[in-house]
Amino acid sequence: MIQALFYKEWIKTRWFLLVALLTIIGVTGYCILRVYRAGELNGMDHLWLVMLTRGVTFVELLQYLPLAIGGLLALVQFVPEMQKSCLKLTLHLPHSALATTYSMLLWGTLFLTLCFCISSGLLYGYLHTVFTTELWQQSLFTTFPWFLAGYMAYFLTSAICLEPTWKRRIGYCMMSLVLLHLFFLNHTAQAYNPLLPFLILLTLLTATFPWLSVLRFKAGCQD
Amino acid sequence: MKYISKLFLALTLLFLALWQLPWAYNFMTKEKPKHSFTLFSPLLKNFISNKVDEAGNLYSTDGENNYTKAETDSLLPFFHYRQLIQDGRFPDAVGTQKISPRHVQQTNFIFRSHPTDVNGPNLALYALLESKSGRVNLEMPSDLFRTTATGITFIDMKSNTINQKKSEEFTALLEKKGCQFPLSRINGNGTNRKEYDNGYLLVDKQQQLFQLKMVAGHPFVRKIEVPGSIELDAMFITEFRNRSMLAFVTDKQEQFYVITLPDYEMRKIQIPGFNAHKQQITIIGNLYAWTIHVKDALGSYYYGVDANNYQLYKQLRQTEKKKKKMWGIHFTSNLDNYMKIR
Repeated sequence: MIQALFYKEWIKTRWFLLVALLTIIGVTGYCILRVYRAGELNGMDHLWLVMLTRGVTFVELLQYLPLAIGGLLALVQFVPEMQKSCLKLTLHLPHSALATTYSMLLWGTLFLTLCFCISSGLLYGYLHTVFTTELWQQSLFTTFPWFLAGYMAYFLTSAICLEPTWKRRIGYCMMSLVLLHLFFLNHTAQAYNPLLPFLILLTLLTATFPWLSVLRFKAGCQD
Repeated sequence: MKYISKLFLALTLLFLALWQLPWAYNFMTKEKPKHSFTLFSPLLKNFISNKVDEAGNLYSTDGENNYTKAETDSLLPFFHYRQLIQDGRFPDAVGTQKISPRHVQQTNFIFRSHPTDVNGPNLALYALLESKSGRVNLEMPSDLFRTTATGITFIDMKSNTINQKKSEEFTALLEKKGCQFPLSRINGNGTNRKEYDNGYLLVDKQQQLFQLKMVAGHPFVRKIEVPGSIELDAMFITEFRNRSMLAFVTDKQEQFYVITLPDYEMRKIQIPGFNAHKQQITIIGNLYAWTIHVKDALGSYYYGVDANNYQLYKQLRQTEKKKKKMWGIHFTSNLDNYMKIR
């Protein structure tokens, strides 16, 4: 059943997945190219000193991309479900509603993980050859809260899309804005390191919200 | 699962309320800070503060004796020496000692430290400059060093490789001078925006203090005697024009010291206390006296200190009546640049 659900999600999201994958590879590649070109023009030693003295990470362009990919993926996955009332049919499959919902969310989570792993892998692959451990770790650790924001944006947008009433949708939207703001409060490199366990916990908590929306949908809640 | 989801939603809403409501209240009720610039006058042996009132700037000592702007320039000749030169009022002598504008310029210094400088986040990589290059301007090195459990390691920035020979040479000399790795603290100004280089101060695992410099490409290490049972805390290498100081140092008991040159003596500055992790400090120093301004959430403490023997002349406390902040969850702080639950 999970394979069938994954196939359904693949059909729905395949073009978005391609665009998202190309975008994150493109932006990560551009970040790497910027480091390479700046190194060619100013010397790699200059880049080391800029990172050391000014806290530059060279990955700033990635900041809001995971957030956008997470939010848009949820829209692409769940807006058609709600508009065409496909969700009602999906939930009537011979499979528990909980498993069905989380199979769909697992599809999105796996794709986000793939995107973020590719981005981190590309960054690590290049940066560790030109920067010492402390410096490439500074760049990679700085991206972690942004990737977590991508997961949270995905779960929260899913909850908003699956929610049947506008009143609660607006409430979820406001809550999402404030929660996601937490990931972008501080721009200092590695500032979020002590908060990462809490952010992971918070992201896991928000993964349960789409189920609440599905329950309300099943109960027939309306405006 | 339904109840778990509901519980998690309730917990998230509670967290948002505990974070956002106090933030909004504190943001809306924040008051404009009342600044008064205060300096210790070596002539009056008292503080002069400027406080803006309806009539304009008012300069006074302890809120009693008022002075005009021109009088204040004369009472703080080391701070306002450029104004005095322009007005043709620069004194030939203060007390019995003759002074010149050049002498004043050479001996004046300003030192600042904020808790964020100490608390981080800071990268554990350091640039050791050549301190005797023979050039007027300092140049940044081609490598950085890090400290490890067994020594210090230099990494060449262009090739991203370890300079084994240099690392061994510096580690060997440090060990020869009695330094025991791993180091517990390190401080220096890894920048070429200064007139000369004093290198780094290192504290080893036995709480011994060393100065490390690079002289003509080779290491220079000097052990600095730490009196008695002092447990060193924060250190600040100074590179002032008059070259009479190596560093300011604090200990775990919040005492404040200066390491003087050329004798490498660690001398206590007779102020009641300073915690570099929680308080910011500004020292405006001259030939005769230092004005030390220590500031924290409770207010400002001003100390007038003799520049020669570091004895306290006078102290002044300015507290601000602040509205009590609403309790709640906070993530940022004035004390560091980390995001934490506070």
